[in-house]
Amino acid sequence: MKKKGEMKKVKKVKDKVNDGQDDDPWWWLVQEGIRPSFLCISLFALLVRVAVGLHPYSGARTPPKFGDYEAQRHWMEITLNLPPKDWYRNSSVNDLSYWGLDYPPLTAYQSYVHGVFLKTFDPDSVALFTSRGYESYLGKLLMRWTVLSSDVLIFFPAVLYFVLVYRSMRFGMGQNSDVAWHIAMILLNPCLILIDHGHFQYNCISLGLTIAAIAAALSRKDLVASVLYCLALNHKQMSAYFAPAFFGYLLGKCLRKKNPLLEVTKLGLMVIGTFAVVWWPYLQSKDAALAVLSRLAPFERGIYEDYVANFWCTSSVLVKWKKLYSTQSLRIFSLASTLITCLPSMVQQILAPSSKGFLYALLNTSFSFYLFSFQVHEKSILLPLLPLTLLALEESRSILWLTHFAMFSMFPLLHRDKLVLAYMALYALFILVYFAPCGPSGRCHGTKTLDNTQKTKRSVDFITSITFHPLLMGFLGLCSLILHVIYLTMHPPNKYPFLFEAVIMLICFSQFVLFTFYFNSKQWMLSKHLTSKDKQKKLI
Amino acid sequence: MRRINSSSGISEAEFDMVILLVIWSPGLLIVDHLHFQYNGFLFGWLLLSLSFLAQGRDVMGGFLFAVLLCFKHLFAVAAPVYFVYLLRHYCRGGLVRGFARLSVMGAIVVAVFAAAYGPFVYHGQIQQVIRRMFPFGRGLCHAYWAPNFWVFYIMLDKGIAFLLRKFGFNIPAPVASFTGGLVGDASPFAILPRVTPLTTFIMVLLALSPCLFRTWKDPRPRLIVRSVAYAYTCGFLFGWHVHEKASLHFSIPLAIVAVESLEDAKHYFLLSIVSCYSLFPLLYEAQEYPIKVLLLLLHTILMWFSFSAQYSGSLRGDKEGGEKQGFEVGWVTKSYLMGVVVVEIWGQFLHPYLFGDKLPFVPLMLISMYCAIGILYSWIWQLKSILISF
Repeated sequence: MKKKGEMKKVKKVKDKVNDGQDDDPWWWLVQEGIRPSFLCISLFALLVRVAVGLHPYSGARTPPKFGDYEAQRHWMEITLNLPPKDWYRNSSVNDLSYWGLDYPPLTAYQSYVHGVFLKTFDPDSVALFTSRGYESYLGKLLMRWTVLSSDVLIFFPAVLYFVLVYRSMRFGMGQNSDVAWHIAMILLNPCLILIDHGHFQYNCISLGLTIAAIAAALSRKDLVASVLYCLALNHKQMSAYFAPAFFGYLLGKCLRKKNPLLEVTKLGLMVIGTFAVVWWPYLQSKDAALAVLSRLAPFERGIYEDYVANFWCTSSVLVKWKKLYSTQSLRIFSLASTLITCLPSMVQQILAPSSKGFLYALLNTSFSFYLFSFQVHEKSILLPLLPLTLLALEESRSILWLTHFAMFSMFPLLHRDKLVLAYMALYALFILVYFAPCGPSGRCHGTKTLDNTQKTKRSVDFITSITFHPLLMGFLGLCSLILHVIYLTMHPPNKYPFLFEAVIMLICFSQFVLFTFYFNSKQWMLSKHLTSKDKQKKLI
Repeated sequence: MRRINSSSGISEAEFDMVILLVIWSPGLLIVDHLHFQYNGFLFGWLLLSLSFLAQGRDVMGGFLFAVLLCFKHLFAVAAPVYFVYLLRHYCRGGLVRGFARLSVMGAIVVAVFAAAYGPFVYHGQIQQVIRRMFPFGRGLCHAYWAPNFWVFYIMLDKGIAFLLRKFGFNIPAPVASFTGGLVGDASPFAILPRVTPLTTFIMVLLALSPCLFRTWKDPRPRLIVRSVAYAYTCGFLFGWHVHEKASLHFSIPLAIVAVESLEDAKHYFLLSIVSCYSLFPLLYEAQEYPIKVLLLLLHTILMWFSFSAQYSGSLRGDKEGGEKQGFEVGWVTKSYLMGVVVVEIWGQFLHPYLFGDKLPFVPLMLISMYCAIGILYSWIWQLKSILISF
């Protein structure tokens, strides 16, 4: 089954009533409004996901451990057949060393619901013990459909909510057809599709809940936002990458209200309440809660695994962290460095909360967590990529460049899963959609200079000129192309069996660090703009 | 395609829309890229040939059509139309000049056929080739009945036999089957007269005759695409051992003329949905089910958006002075399309739930019959439009 790569869809157009046809080729898609064009684009995105689902999943036919697909199936088996208190406990019926649950309880509840679905149509796939390593046509089909349904039920509505809120934020700026381009950028994000529908995971649920939380926060429904974000946290603990940004933004907003203490207390109560509801079966005893917590933070697995483009793994080429320090000290190092790097962004939001600043803060905190946190996976690049897609209209050059490197950093993983064809097709699709005629990609090439202060403008210009320097970009683009080919065709030397992965990791890491500086500087520039505006208001 | 459209004077945006409808035609995607054939390539040839004819370059058009015939002989159903059109349009200008042109055209066609079949004639294999190309040993219908006229004929036969049996007459069950070959003198029909390949051939020609008469009297390049599409519709409806994939032959040329008027658009909307739906049984695997449903839904929505945008009141109103007619489908079409959804739900969910494994042919029969109604309507509509426009 081939995946269709060509498309000439998502066109954009000016929505001016009388000369609609003459100027833009996409007006017919957006002339009815956002919701119908969203429906059209989401149908196409769904078609792409179904097509990717035809490809193999992680760990297909590789006993004894298999991969993420088997892990998810095993969790459905466990949650279906055992009572909640046994889900995280090592026992004779639940062997935690064989894919034990290591996500918070919401994932367990979701596995239970999906397990019921699987049991109705293919009971053998979730029978206790006997279904280990169970692989069949029907089983794969049902599992793929659970991911599809989660996408449709959670991710897509969240994106629609966000797009509607974002559009009202940007009222008057840009064209109607930009919205369609933006929707396509979010829904056709190749990394997310490949990981969720290819490799097999359920990131769409936690990311969808996060998007809904962001949209709620931007539309001033702070309590709803905090509840949704806590649900996202309870689905995957990696959502904590966004926690400082949420914390900074909501706290900053509370401090500007009439009665800050009351607002903070309300938020705190909602957070505690949500956690209490989700963790209810595990709050009966201290042991139960600790059992879950120890599964969520597997420190014994070391500071990094495989080859991921973050600080610890990349610098381990020079400094052998694992040999020099103990796990305990490495934990402290990573915690300290993560906090220090996300502090500027969080402080900025507390001091001067703003909608755009919030989105940049999400981007910056998630990048700093990705670069410096403990036990980061390649798949975690999805987390910084999410706010970037939400900011696609502001950062149209960055999104192309960083999506390229995010895909590149995941290439070895996808190659192991035999998803190379899907990888190339989705990449081509992304490029086609990105460069669709009359879109934002052709227009804003420079950074939007939001303020008049010469000093900050110069420093940002400096960083921008390094980040987007044509020669550098050209060189790196060529390198990545060559590396793709080398990785697919040649064998690494026996002395360094992971040479190619290391080179890929180095290149991606360099770009991620560069862009972290760039985005941080942009976030601070936003606040300078706001303070100068405040000063102007005071003068008047 | 650009040639055809520039001759009929439509705008850039409409041209883009046409590309959308043809390239993203779900039927073509399903048959070529999923079921696996090479129709896309062949339809390119057909469209190229039609475009040359529409521009008035008859020699190229004729040449390309001859080449196409050597690729897939199924396209020969439109040969009478081509022949009449080229005869009347190209071979004009007096007896001598006309005859000279006729010989030029004839020479080209013969040369093409010679180049294609020459090696087989040389090796004495031509008999085998012809037998493989025209398998009249097969039955009237394919295993899954294409939604054409013979579906009604068969159902009528079975219905009458059933009624007569109820009234006590002794009707022997037919020995032969519809899908198997012609078994001696046995007819697969219980009551109604037997249908032979010759019968179907004559019926196709009869159905084609209005179009041929009109083309003879007035061969216009602008209407060649419609005439060819009509020819393929007749071939589909009345032909022998028609495969449902043949519905692509007329839905793709019609996509090109769909942008010419509101009526064309409405007709094409219905036709493409019906012909795509009739292709569903080709993909029977469970993992292909969401793909084919999504393809059809996406195509429907895109057609709806693009036609609505093209025919919305504010645009056409300016050009035609006050005629504000939006793109709407009548209640008949709406209920027919609802019926498609009902048929699908019955076939996929209700039938296995209620009957299990019994009567497995009923859902397929239902799809055939229901789509045949739509295609019959399309045939009548096309006939009417040809008679009127000429």
